[in-house]
Amino acid sequence: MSTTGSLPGTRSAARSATAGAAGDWLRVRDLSVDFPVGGSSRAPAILRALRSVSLDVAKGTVFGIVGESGCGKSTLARVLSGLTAPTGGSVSLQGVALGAVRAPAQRRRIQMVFQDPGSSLNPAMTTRRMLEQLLRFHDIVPRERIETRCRELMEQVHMPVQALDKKPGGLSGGQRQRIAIARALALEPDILIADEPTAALDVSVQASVLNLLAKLIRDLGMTMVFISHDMAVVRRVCDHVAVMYLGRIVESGATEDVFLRPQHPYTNALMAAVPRLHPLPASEYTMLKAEQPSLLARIDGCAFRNRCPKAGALCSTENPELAGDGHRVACHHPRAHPAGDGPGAAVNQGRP
Amino acid sequence: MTRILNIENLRVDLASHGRVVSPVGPVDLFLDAGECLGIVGESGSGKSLTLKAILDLLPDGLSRGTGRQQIAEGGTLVERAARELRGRRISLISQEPGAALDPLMRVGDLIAEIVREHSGCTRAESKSRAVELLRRVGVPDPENRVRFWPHEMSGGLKQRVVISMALACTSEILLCDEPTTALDVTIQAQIVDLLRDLQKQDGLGIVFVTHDLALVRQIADRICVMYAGLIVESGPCAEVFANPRHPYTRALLAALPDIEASTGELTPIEGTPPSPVDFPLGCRFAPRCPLAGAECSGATPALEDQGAGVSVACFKVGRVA
Repeated sequence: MSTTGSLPGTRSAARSATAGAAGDWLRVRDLSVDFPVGGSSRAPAILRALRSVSLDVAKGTVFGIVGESGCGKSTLARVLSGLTAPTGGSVSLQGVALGAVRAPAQRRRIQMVFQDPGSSLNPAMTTRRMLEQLLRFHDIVPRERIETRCRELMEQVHMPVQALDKKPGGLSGGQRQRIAIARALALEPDILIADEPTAALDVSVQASVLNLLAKLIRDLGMTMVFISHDMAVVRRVCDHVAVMYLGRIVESGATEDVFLRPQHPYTNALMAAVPRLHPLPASEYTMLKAEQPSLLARIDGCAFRNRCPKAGALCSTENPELAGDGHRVACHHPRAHPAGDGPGAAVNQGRP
Repeated sequence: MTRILNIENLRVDLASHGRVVSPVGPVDLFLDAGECLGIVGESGSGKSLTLKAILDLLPDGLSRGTGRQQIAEGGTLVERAARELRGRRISLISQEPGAALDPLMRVGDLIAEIVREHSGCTRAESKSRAVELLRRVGVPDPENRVRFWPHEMSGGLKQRVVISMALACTSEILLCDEPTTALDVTIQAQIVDLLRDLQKQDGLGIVFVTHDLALVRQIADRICVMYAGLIVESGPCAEVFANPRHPYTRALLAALPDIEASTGELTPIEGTPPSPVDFPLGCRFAPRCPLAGAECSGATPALEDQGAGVSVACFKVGRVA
């Protein structure tokens, strides 16, 4: 794998080149997840966390999923890594279906890094014991090579070898997240799922974890699904991005397309709401009114229509399908972009 | 501009193994009428403790060491104790709005109670005032919402209710401790917009504590950057962001991903912030500082005027004549 380019940011040409046709790597079709949350037996309350989500992730790329709390992004991550069983739909990798119950050999292929390393690492286990257990169970390297492999892993995540003898309590937040990454890497996965991996970290530490993830993706040719609510981070790390709202993907495409030329009014508002170091001119600032409806509510038509400045009659009766080629949007009134339009673009040009 | 709050030499003390350490301070702060002061720093920098110390609301084990505070009264600054200011002149909004609302009271009653306490008006008057206050902070359909319980409201609405409670005390100063951290970005934008509106329309003074540099850029007129319990740089917001002077401020900005940029390396700050029990002698940032020299480990640099309203505590930043 080429090591050109300096991620995060410059998505290396090499990676795009090795990316095969989108359809034959990670493929998600019509994925739905319902959670029963009480109610009566006659009228059970159902929380529809994911509603018919489809996406394709090409090999060697970073696919971002953004959205606000309750949009289903973490549920999607859990389904992809086999921690939550979908109610409907399918996940497949290289044409092989991955069910909710996976054999170890399959489980190993998709690994996850969680948001809070404080709670995703066993506080009573040293790093070495944790890694040894994994390497033995999955029979990844011969027994006599386990120690060497542990040391290699520490090197990969830029940790001193001494960290192998420490428990999570003796490590800082950033170091714990590196150990959590090492644990995922130990299984040599094809796909790494990172669910808000830096949300619990300070800015100065976040930068080092993002740099590390970018380097690993580049050097190991891994594919990553990167989930975040932080648009600035996603823009830097991801090649493609999907914007989710209330369990649905409302817009997806190449990161630069979606961020600079958002077509869905929600993406547009989301981008405008992100605090910036170079504040937007007031004209670009579209404040969203109201809040998202309850996930328990039955919604006819477009789920965004109560907050949408463009909502019309059609929006209250018919749910828009995700349509388009490459840059896809689920909206009856997508925003058209002449060249160079968009909130980000306007600011970039006006910047000293 | 008239000064409405002046705080000098504020220190927070912690008794630890028979000796006293100070996780915060000494810190000097001031606030002008209708101004928003932003305090930024990473976790453990003491920004929240500073805010709590002003109102003497420190958690158990911590106490306010030194420090005197003056507040504007009839054109002059008068020294007042925290308990005289708390809830009357100065209100605090915390990160978790749910924790600030009594779950056993309807939100309208919560607000009306405060109105009665402060104005001595009748029950009926206080209820209609509660509706007005909810309308003022942009709660839709306030006539009905006064009958809601806190748990029936979303995070954004709850935070609006907390802000309306602060207004009900007719506070002149609002201390905000990460008020939008628990909220989504579109709701955060709404709350920031509301705070700005209150600042402009009602002349409310705001102290806004956050770890989010981009957010503070958006809301603050003036900022203080804190590191390990001390202010290392302060000045007009636009100036500090355009020309960061302290090595820590520079490093923070270099580590921050900007929504407008998709390229360029992020530069992490090596090492970890020191713990209050073993703050380094001299400049507390020195062990992580790329510019650190011999003098940096000898004495603690004081904030010095650098021109353009900016003060920096660093031996290595050239003084502007």
